[in-house]
Parts: sequence; C-alpha cells; structure tokens
Amino acid sequence: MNIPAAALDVDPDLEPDPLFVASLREARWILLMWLSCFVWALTVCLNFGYPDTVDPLNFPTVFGIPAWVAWGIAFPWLIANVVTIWFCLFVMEDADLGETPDELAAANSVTEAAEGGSRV
Amino acid sequence: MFDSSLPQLPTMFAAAGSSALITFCVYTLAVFGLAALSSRLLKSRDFLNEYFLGSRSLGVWALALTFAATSASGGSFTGFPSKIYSHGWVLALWIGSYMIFPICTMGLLGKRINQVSRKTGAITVPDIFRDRFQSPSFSVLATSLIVFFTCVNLVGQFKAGSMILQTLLGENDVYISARSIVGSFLQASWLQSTVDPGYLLCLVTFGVAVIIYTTWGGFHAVVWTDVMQGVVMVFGVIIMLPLAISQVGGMQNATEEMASMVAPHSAKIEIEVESAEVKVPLGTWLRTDDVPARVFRLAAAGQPGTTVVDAIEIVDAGDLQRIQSGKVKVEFAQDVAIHAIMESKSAAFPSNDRPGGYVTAPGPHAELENGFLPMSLAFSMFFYWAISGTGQPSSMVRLMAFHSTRTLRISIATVAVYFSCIYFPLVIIFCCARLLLPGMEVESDRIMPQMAVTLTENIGAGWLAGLLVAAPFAAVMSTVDSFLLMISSSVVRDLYQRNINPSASRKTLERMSYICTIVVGSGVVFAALNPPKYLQDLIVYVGSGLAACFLAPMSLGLYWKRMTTAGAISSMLVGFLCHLSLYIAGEGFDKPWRPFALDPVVIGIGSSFVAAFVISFLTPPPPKELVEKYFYTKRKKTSAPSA
Repeated sequence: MNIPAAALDVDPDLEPDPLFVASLREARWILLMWLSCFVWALTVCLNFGYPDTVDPLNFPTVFGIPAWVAWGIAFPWLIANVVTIWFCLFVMEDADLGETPDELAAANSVTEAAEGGSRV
Repeated sequence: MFDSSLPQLPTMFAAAGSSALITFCVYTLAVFGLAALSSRLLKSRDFLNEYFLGSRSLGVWALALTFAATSASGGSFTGFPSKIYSHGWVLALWIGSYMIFPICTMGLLGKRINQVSRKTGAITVPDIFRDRFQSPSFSVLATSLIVFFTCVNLVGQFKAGSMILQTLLGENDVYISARSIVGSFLQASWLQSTVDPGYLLCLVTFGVAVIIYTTWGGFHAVVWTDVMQGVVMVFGVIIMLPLAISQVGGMQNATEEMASMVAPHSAKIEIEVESAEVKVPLGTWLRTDDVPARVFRLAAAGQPGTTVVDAIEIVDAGDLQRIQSGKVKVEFAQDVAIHAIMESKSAAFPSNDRPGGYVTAPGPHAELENGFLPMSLAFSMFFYWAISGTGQPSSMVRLMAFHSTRTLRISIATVAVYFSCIYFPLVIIFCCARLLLPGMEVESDRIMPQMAVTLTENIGAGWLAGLLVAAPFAAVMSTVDSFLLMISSSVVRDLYQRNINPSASRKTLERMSYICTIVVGSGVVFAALNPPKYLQDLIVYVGSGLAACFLAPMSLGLYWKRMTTAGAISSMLVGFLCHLSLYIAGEGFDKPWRPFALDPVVIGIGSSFVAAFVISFLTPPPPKELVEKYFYTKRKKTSAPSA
C-alpha cells in the first residue's frame, strides 16, 4: 500500500506524513491482533463446542461456565484486554492532529475546486 | 380492547410502578438538563462544528462512553439478550469478537480519520469523502446511503424504546389511564386493529423526548447524555449479574440445569374464550385438564370466540417442575379453554427433544436444522463485529471529535474494559434467565426488562427495577440520538450547505438542522407504528450494510494513495448492491441468502474491497496535489551539525 514518493512524482521537499506512517504501522499490528483472536477462539470453539452428543450429568465446566466457552472465549477475552491496554499505553504513538480550518471556508473549498479553482 | 381479567402485557409491575415512574421522570429531567447546558455552548461557537461535532473537544471519558454507548444500542439490551435466552451459551461465540472490538473499531482508523477531517474541516463522513476524492456526487451518494440505513435502524430502536418504556411503566395508574384515553382515540381511527394503545403511547412519549433533547442540544447534549447513559448501562449489568447468579443457585447449578434442558415445542392449539368480546393477549398461559397437565403459552393474540392460535408447549421437565412447584410465578388464564392440540413439534435442532442444545454450539433453533450458529456462520460473526464495526459511520463521527491522540489511546483501553463488563456478563445473566422465566420465546425481545423486574421483585426490591430498566432504555436513547444527529448533519451539511447554499447564514443552518431533526424523528415514529418482529436481525442488516458500503472507501481512502474517485464510488456501490441482493435473494431480514455459507457482510465487504482495487488500477492515478495533501508533509529542515 505504501507507494514510494518517487513513483507518484511527489515534490522532493515533502516527506511521508509521520502520523500516516505511524497509523499504518499500528493498523497492521491491530489486524494481527484480530487474526490471533480469530484463530484462537474459533480453533477452540469449533473443536470443543460442537459435540455430537451431550451427557448432561458429566458436562465439563470451568467456574460454572461451559469449558469450551471458558477456554475459547472468556480466557482469550481476558488476554485481549491486557494486550489492548498494553498496546494503547506503550505502543501507540502520540502525534499532532493539526488545526481545524474555518467552518465556512471549509464548506466552500470543494465547491471552488469543482468550479475550476486551483484550491484543493 | 383487552379484558382486565386476563394476564396482560406489559406485566407485573404494580408494586414497583410508582418508583419506576419516578425513576423515569428523574432520568428524563437529567437528560433535558444536559440538553439545556449544551444549548448554551452552541451560542458561543461555530454552529455546525459545535452542533454536529462538539468542536472536536471530546476528552477521555466523553469519547470512551459516547463511543461505547452509541455502539451498545437497543440491540445490546433487547435483541442480544433475546438471542441469549433463545439459543443459550453459543451466544458467547456469536459475540466473541467483542474481545477485540475496541482496538479494531477505534484504533484502525481513529488517528487518521481525525487528522484528515481536521485538514479539510470535515464534520461529517460524506464531508470527508467529498474532500478526499474531490467529488460532490460521491458525498451525495454517501449521504443517501447513511439516511437510508440509519432510518431503517431507527425504526427498530424506536420499537425497542417503546417496549422498554411499556414494561417500565407496567401497571402504574397514571399510565393505565393514559393508555385508556389513547385506546378510546384509536377506536375511532384506522389504527384501531393494528396498534396496541400502550405501545403507541410509549412510542410517542419516547420519540418526543429524544427528538426534543437532540434538537435542542446537538452533539454535546448527545455526548453528555451518552456518558450518563453509559454509566447507567454498566451499573445495570453489574447489579443484575450477582442477583441472577444467586437466584438460580449459582453458575454451576444453572449450567447443569441448562445441560439437560429441552427446547419448547412449536404448537398450534384451538382455544375458546368464554366471553365473546374478548381477545386473548399474546403471552397468555394455558394448560390442559390432563394429569399431568400440558402447559402452553400463546405466541399470538387469540380472537374472540373459538380460534386456532400459534403457541409454544413447555416440555422441559425442569421448567414444568419449577412452574408446578410455584418457584416460577405463572398466572394461567381461567376463562380460556383449550379445545384441541392441532400440532406440537420439537425444535428443528436439536431434533427429537435431545438435551444439551443450550450449553453447546450451534445452539437450538425452532426452524433451522443446522441450529442457530453453524460453524460457517461462526466464522462470519467473528469477522462481522470487529471488522464491520470499523465501518460504521456513527463510530467514524465520534473518531472525528476527540481532541488529542492521547485521548484516543486511553479511551480505547477504557472501552475495552467497559465492554468486558457488559457483554460477557449479559451472556451469563440471560442464560440464568432460562431458569427464572420459562416460555419467554413468545416475546423474547422483552426479556431484558422482564428479567430486571423479576430479579428485583424476587428480593423484595421492586423499586430497583426502575433503575435496572433504565439501562436498556439508556442504550436505546444513546443510539437514537446519535443516529438522529447523523442524519440531520448529513442532510444539512452535505446536501444543503455544500451543494445548494454554501453561503447559508448561521440562522438558516440552525433552522434547517432543527427542522431536519424533528422531521426525521417524527417520520421514524410513524414508521415504527408497525415495526418488524426481530430487532436484532434488523440491526445486523443495517450494521452489515453500512460496513459493506463504507469500510472499503474510508479505510483505503485514508491509507492507500492510489485510491481513485471512481474506485471509491464503485466500491461503495458494489458493496451496497451485493449486500442488498443477498437479502433480497433470501427470505427476509432473518434469513438472507448465504452463498458458500458466508454471511452477506463478508461477501459485501469483500466485493467492495475488490471493486476498489480493480477500478482504481483501471483508472488514472489521483492528482499529485491530492496525494501530497493527504499523505505528505513538509520535510523538516535539519540544521547543520556544529563543529
């Protein structure tokens, strides 16, 4: 997704926006976290949560919760929370978000561009 | 009209009626107070930026709770509990991807969407599309889709709001008098045969309250009430959890009982009402004269005289024992006789009354032989919540409103903890509900308020029910107000100001915003007079449809330099049409066509991304200035190292 500046013939005085670069890197980590949860939860639940028959008298539980739910959902949920908090507090970078332009000027900007103005 | 001798719905709230009404009044007054405060802020700031985006000033708690409260809609507190009750523990897997929901929905796009919206002064999602892709027509397309999907969702939310209010007010004297007056009015109108007077009264009350405070206070009113509602919601769940577990004799006992539980039968019975002028309400309990008696609950209202009605038959030995021993309060109708049992068939899954369905996947289902959540659908649902949640315009608007990246980081962590305190406990609470409230399949969307009433009455604290029922009410309100504002912002900002009258005065914009919020709100109240049956299915349809339309164009627009205007527009259209056609090819909201056993959301989002890539590569690259503006910044001058 990251096309080098030269390929798009970008002004050499410019560099990739640091917030864009950091956000893209973080987005990749977040998708990896989602994939890990996806694989864990579905592997456990599909293997142990879909039995052919159930013996009501010997149904496995953990703290009263069906065992497949405890290991397939509750446990990874706990881990996901810990990882999310760690990621937010120690991995995500702070950055300047910029200023907001005047309301009316913003409303008119694209109209002007559409009418032949050079402003983008 | 209903005869007072029959057990009526909304039910059993006599003792707690007054305190519930007081709770509701205090809650409503607080909401209006926040709207008044917010309206004062409006006078001193840019109208549109403040009214629709709160001047991008949200702090940690405001962002976290408004995000959480808007995401946790009426579906979370009415439709979701209804599904847990009907299908059991498998709902933990169904909702499982909420473990990763906050970091996905807020972290994937959060910083970039906020930065880009500041760069252009965008205050709505179509605003961003218009600026990023330099296309007013794309903005109009996005606005139209937002209005369409959001209005459909609002119909379901208004239904939920009305139902919860009905249960909250129950048998309160003031409410009963008002309901009679509305009933007399309805008798003289064309609505007589289709609308329940209690439902209409609560629908209008709920609608008027939400429309007024949203119109009056704008975004800040919505956010502040969201914060209050978010707190109410989590406290409601935290109070209900220990009450539910203790009243079923502990979690271990509840799961053991559920492991041997058998799903009720779908039945058709012929009944006769003694009085020829009386309708038998939905939810009426009946039993045969046999020994042991067979127990039924009506799934539809019965007409006066002799009639055949749909019902469910309670066949689980544990349920029957709890009913007969009086552990569960059930009031059988005395003046309705069962003439014949035409049909009584077991659930399609598990077939032949096999036990265990409520504690294992795929969960019981009355009609589907593969059960509620077959393996293929489990894949889709894990994808659905976390990934499609990222593509919701209502979430994107909130991500445009925080004031610093630090706020975003801490809010994500807060929402992660918040959702953990809501969703998994809800699964536990409403699994316990199976033991406390048998036969609720006939009106399962009402299980949440009914459970609140039952849990509190069982400990002799009926007054607490008002507080607990405020939780789902808050969830519905917080979603409705956000959606109302999103529609009016789309229409006023994207259609009117940016296409018709760019130099509109502040006064004109104010008037347009107020009128738009009122007109949309009133229209939805009217549409909700005859709402669809299953709230959660409607919410899933809207959520997946919005994701199919908005996720690809927004995420690629923010992260992919080569994305072109044609690619973005075709991505939105292909996502919309694919998703819609799968619902049209299926059998309605609850049974869309699932090719290769994949849910429409997966196919809709997938085809939307494919269209974006293919069309973008087939069309010329975007203008250099545009790429520079959104993806580059001026190189910082490095000073020469000193000798």
